[in-house]
Amino acid sequence: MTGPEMSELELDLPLAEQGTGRFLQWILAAATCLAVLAAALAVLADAELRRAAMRPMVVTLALPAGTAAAEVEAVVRFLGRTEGVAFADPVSEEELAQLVEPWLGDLGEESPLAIPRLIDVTFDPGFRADLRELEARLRELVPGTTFDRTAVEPPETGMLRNLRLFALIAAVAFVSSGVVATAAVVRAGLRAQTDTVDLLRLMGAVDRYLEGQLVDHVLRCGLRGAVAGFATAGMLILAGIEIGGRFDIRPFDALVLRPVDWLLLTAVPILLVLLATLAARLAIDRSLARAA
Amino acid sequence: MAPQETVILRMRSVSMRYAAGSEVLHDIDLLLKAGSFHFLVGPSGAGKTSLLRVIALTVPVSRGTITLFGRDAVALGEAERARLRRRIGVVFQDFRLLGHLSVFDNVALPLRINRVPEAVVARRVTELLDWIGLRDRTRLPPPRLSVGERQLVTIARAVITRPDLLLADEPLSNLDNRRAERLMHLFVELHRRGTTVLLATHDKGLLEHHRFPILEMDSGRLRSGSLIGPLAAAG
Ligand SMILES: Nc1ncnc2c1ncn2[C@@H]1O[C@H](COP(=O)(O)OP(=O)(O)O)[C@@H](O)[C@H]1O
Ligand SMILES: [Mg+2]
Repeated sequence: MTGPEMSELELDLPLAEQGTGRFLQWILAAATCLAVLAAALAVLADAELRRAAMRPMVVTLALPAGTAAAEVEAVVRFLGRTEGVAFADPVSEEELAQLVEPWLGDLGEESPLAIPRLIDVTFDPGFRADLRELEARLRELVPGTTFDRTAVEPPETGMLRNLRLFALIAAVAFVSSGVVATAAVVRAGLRAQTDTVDLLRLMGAVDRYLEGQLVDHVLRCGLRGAVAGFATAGMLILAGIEIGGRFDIRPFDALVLRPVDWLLLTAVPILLVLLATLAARLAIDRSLARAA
Repeated sequence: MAPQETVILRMRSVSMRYAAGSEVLHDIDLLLKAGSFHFLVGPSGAGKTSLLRVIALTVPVSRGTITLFGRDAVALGEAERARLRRRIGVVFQDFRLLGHLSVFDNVALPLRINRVPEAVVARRVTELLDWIGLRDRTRLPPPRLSVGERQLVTIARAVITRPDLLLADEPLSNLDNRRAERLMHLFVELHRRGTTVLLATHDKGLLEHHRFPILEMDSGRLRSGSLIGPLAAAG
């Protein structure tokens, strides 16, 4: 046999030698790299959101000023029986005074009854209570009871959700542009090769043969590009996690990719190569049909 | 080759015009028996190349019928046309080699299209290129070769499959005498083994050395009296 370059030379259609092959490889490497980076960001944001979701929810319940101690007791007891509530902790009057001091100044002899009674309600980890319903039921006990809802969800959660969404959209966009670019490159390459296509047909090549060759070629370029792109992205992610871990990067508490996350990320290049090959096949079919 | 295929090609009243041009082939009647060898001669512009193109199914006819390997060649589906074409070797006057492939891969092309195993491809291509005298050229792309060498590559590509029908358009015109003679022996050898050969040439010396029947063309017509009459009557 004639050495390892053989398989390269088996390609009758000169996409590779035209430079389009190398071009294709670069396009797919770049698309893979960017898509994997975006997907990694989405995965990190998702993990952070999951961690946040597992953090116990703590809300502060405000009973109207002047609520009797017995009523406060009743509410605490009720909460103790409520599903998902880990514990309910009335804020003592001293604590309350300290809390409001910066705004209202020393209450002094002013009646502590003028300010609402607060109860910190801590739910079980991961439990997400329906505060509206709970509020309605508490109002039956003590009219005018309200939850301080701003404290329910930290501002990071919304930010993480947006980040996850945008990262996902970006990943999809990078994959799609890789696929679209592949189809365009293949179509252009084939258009520049009508003479070759004619000759091969003249020798009795059926379109399936031509298509097979080109699809093989795209698959090979795609795999090479995807592996290179994934390796690059992987190194960038590892470096990012390593460096990011040394600083406090705001919406994230921790930058951790589990093995299963990495597995998920490998789906990106696989998907990209599959879709690119499929797009190439369609582009080739249409080009050949038009040239027939 | 199937034994019942005594007639490889039968053309009846075939006329051909290139797209939007005037007619270049008029009323061609031609019959080639399996295993025959014919020279196709005629002045430049007579239509030799055009006739070979029609037979190779590369240009459509505007009138008449062609039966090739027993099939109606005018109305063929893609797959069927491809199958017939794979039984034909063509030496193009303008070579039509692929510049991005090596000599080896150009010659291997018809075998690969026929899905011949790669080990067989390697053996047969190497063997033929050795015999033809291109042993040290196999890795080069055709543009790096001399015109004569390119002609040899074209011939090698046309005969590598040992086709049932060989259409050769001025195949020896760019070769020195010694090489031309060697290649002519190749064609004769293929003919001896059963390949039907139609060889267009304007080389008078060739016609004198090799006593094969001659088809004469002029102004897009096959001249009557040139062997076709009796064959057509026989078929
Ligand atoms: N591709 C083409 N398009 C239009 N006319 C052509 C083409 N090829 C050849 N011709 C014309 O057809 C005629 C026959 O040419 P050709 O078959 O090449 O003759 P020969 O091979 O005997 O020299 C000539 O008048 C030539 O100008
Ligand atoms: Mg000619």
